[in-house]
Amino acid sequence: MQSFRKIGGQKTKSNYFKTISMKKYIVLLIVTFFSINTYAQNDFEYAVLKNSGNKEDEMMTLLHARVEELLKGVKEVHLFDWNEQTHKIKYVDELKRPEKPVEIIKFAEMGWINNLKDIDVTLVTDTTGKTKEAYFRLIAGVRMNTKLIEMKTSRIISIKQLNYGPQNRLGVIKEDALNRDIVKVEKFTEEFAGDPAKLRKEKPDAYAKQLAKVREKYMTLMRKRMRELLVLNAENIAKQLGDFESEKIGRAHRVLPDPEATDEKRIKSISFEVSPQDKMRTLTNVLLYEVVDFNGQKSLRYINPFWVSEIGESSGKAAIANIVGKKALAELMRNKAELLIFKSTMSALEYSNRLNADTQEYTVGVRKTCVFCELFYETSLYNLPGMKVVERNAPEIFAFYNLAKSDKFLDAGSEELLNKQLGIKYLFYEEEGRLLATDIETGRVIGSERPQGWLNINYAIALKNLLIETMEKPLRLVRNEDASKGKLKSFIAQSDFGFVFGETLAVYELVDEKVGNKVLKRKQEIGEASFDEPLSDLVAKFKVKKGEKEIWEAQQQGKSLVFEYKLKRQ
Amino acid sequence: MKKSFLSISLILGLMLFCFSASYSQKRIGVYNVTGYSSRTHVYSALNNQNGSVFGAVPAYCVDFYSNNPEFITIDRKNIYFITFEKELQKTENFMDGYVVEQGKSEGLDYLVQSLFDTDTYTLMIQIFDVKEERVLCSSEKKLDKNILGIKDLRQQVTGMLLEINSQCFESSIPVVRMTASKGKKAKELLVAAGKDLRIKNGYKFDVFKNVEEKVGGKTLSRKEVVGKGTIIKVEDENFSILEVTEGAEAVLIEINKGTELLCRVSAK
Repeated sequence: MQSFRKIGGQKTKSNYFKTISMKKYIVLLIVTFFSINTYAQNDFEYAVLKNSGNKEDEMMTLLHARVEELLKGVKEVHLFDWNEQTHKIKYVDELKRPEKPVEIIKFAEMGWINNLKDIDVTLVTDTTGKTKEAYFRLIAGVRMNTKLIEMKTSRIISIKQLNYGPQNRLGVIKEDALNRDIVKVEKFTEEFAGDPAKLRKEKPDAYAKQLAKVREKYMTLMRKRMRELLVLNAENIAKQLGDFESEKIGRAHRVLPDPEATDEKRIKSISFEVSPQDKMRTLTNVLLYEVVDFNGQKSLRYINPFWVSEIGESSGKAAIANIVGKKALAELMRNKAELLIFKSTMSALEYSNRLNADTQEYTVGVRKTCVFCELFYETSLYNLPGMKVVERNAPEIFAFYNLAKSDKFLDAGSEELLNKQLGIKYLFYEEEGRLLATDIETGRVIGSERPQGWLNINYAIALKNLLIETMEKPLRLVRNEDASKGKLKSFIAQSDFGFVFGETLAVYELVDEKVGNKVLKRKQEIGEASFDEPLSDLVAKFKVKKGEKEIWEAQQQGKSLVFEYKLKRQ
Repeated sequence: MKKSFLSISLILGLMLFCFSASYSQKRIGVYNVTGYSSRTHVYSALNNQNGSVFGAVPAYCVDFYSNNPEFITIDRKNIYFITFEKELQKTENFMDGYVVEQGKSEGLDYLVQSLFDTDTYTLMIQIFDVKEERVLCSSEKKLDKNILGIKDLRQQVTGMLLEINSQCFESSIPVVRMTASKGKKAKELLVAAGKDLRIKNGYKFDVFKNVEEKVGGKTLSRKEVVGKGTIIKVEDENFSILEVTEGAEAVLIEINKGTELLCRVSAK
């Protein structure tokens, strides 16, 4: 970097180039180019845009203050106070301004469940109905939505909907948190002027009056405890907000041959290639995938989670996170399977999209009115292979973009981040209970489908059917898996948009039907199959549930069959 | 020489076929619903209460035409988003990124306009021919109500659009054949209307035949209803099964005679 500045800056003598040969000049240019790139790849920064919530809410203010305090200590992360409605952002720490362009922006929306106002007392009774114990259980649950956006493209690279309670991230309730979320009513018979359980049953009005008095008495203590609980949550929240490495789209790390790893009794870890640019740290969670081939179409099969136990100059070691699957893993190592390690699911998805030359990628956007609106719809779209979801409701991205363009970062390799924005090709939206997609190029509505489910709306299956039809990417039968005695019992199918547990396929036979002068294709449902086992991100085994004989016969007669995701509601 | 001439003719033929196939599709744009008072003859925007109910009409129209292969649908509600996105993509920020092709926006052959008469609770849907600058056809309906308010608005709008389709674009729903019968009665019919026309289980249809009536010196076509039925199974995008509920004997007689039977959504 210094050499570059000397050449390009004021210190350069006017006759400098005359004194060096052309060959040396080219070498110098190449070295300069690589030094910029190396610098750029390593040294971009991150921004966290966090909504400050209701400033009148004392607890929320306290939570935000604690999160901000913890995040101030994270070197590469810059924290901003973000107003989602006005799109205004403000540095939280005026002294800590970005010294390098921001590469990734994390939007965070926080809210919390406050049950103090109308908290009820929990009564524990014996078999006779007599109160044994009375306490208030505090719920200090914080919900947080986060969205990670790549600044140079405006592409959404991660969406998370998180809940923080008194648990650690493995779901185990911390003992200190457990003790703090219970406020015991010590002399409950005195407080309720009798047995509270009996009072509640016999005189509910009197009980309600008494409860209000007890609640008032314990409110100071409960508020104190609530503050403590929220501070405990703040640590987890800050950790999540400050973590960018595990959510970024990273490269594939090839697993290296290791004789020890071929023995299921000796296998403890696997070695993989790594470079300092990967910023891989020990204890990082990583995911192992195998590259599989079905009929010449490659895809990724998820195997197991691992954690990084050792990091060297060019290789690292990943230890097995659980004891399950050692035998299968050793077998894969013996068979020299193509194994890859990724830091995140999105990294694997991105790599998978590039495995086959004919894989199509779709740049899409969702019509909405704010960053976190239509989150279920957007998440369903984002989870589908081949989709690049672009954010258009966050003009804040362009504030960072313009900053990267400014003279301040001229020498910081920001050109790597500029002029690479992704345009939306297909705009998705929901209207009157229908999912629709419009082609931006022509303005055409390219399809419409109905989401599934009543209470928990599932967009994924409807979206897949919409895409299959509009992008003309039908589901393919890879091969029959189990067929005997004139019946097809299971088969393997492939979809460009993947399969997930719980999905059902409808099997249709295509017949020609003459309607007036036209011949139309009529789909007659002859069977149904349900998801059995994932074989890769795009391939799965299905068990035939209905029409074993009919499907088999149709296949033998050479009839054309069509497979579709089965919608529960039409 | 002969071979190359043949291949050129083949390619030209194919291009012509593709062009004619896309050209035969009708480009239809859907506009917002407008309020109208038949008492004062004043057009206005719908108030909040009516807007929340009838604002859905354009969405139903878009949905109705969007999966129909005979139409290319343009949702005019998206114009702002499309224009914004295209203008954004013209900036240098997208120079080395991904952009869609500019200048491929499509004009419209027809406009769908809907009008709601707030005094009579009547909905009118019109098809406006852009080239001819005139209303091609329309459907008007006093909306059915129940104690909860408007009775299944989507079904009522779908019925009106099917009627419009048959008036404007001569696209009636043909009865393909009988799939089940009992004695002298037709039980089930296969009809050429499915998911693409937004047909749903429970939709009621009239089964009719076209008869010619001489009125003075003119010959007019009359739709003679021979039976009624209910959709019991939507098979796929193009076909459904209709259970004959009224006039089953008459329907069977007409089928045996080889009469061309058609369907339309029942008025009630």
